[in-house]
Amino acid sequence: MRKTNCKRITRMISLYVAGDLVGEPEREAAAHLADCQACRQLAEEFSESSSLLAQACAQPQFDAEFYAGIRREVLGKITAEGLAPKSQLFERFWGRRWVYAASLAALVLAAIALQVFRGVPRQPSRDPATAPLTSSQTRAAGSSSSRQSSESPRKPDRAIAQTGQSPKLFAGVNSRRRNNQFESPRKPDDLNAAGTAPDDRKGIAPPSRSSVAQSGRFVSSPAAASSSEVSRIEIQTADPNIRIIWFASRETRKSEPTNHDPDPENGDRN
Amino acid sequence: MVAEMAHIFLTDAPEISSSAREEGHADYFAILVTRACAGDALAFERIMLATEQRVVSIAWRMLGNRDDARDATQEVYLRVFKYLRRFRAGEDFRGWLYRITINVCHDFARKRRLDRVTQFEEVDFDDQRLVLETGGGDPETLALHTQQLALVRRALESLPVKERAALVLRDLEGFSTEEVARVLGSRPVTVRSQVSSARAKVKTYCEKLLRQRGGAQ
Repeated sequence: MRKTNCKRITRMISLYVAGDLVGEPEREAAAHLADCQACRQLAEEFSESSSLLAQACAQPQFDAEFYAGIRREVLGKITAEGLAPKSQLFERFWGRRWVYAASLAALVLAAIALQVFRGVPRQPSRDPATAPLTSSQTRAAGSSSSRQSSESPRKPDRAIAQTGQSPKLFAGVNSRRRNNQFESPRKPDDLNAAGTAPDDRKGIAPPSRSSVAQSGRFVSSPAAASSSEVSRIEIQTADPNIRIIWFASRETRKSEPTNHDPDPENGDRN
Repeated sequence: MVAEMAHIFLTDAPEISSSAREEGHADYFAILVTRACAGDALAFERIMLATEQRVVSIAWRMLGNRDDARDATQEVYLRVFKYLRRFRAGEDFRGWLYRITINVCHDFARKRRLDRVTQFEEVDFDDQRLVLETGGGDPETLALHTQQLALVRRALESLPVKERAALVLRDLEGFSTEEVARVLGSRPVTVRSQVSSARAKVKTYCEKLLRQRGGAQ
């Protein structure tokens, strides 16, 4: 019991010695110190240490010139630099000017970034890959889709309906472009002698946005490919299972614009 | 010095009521602050005259040397003048001033990377005079006591900034626990805890060093 009391009192001794305790704690500490020699000894040590501290840090006597120098310096700065006391209102608005400037800069940057990123998907509207198909191209897509429908377990009516709706189909193209679900363009080496691609759908490279853009550019810029190269255009329809792939040699495309002689070498649907 | 200041107040400020002229009176400082805000440099000088000794004392005990104390005091008064309009009539002006003093001392210590390692300049102390004043005539006793005082100063330097501030204000400047709490912006119970911890650390530090030196000898 006494040990517990000593432990508790020990924590209070320094406060008791300096007169920080009042009321019941003070009386309790005083009663304990009257009985306990060890705690009394501790209290004396604290008292001595406090007294030493007061002696050790007794302020040296600074002369009048020291204080006068401080005043001169302060008043000189106040008058020379014209330090006017800041009003609260002024400070409230002007003191936060950096916050306002930073917020404004962030807003401007955000607006610019938004403009840039909104501009990116709109540009491909000139892209031949998203240009409206000619009637022959649509026909080819339709025929290939019907051919594919007989091979796959997919419902034919659904496949035909999807490919027959050209506006919806191209809306699907755009959405797919955004979702990066295009295949990468195949190299001419991948094509067989007839200019058609082998049916290696299982080995198709993972889709990427860059591949889409690359295939689009490939078609649109004549200087991009040599005369022996074959352009490949892939269009993902609204149905994720239907993809139209169109291979066209460069020479053919140069003379292509007629609708009667389309050059889809291969129409493929997945 | 106080008599000199009182003379200045009595002669230079006849319009200030006699009750307000007493140093430390809240109204007295309120009047001076109002005038200083209006651009009266003399009023600000009076504020400095009335408070500079205590400000220098706190700064010196916190920073440990005369030059830092002088620089810190200048900074304190420049800051006080700059933010004088923040002071609201009815508040304790000196509490506000000492709070600024402690903050400036923290800034100084941080800038000079002296948060925990201030160095009391021994040239600021005349320990032998102190010891003689306290009655230690024997050269051996005088040497021992001088050594003890240096140890206690080093113990104070070793304290964390908050504990040092609490100990300086409470034990060395003689503020009450409640006043210290107001100056430091904390609760009295926190101040009591900080002061108690600081006292125990100072005592332990001195004992430890004395034991080490005793062992070495």
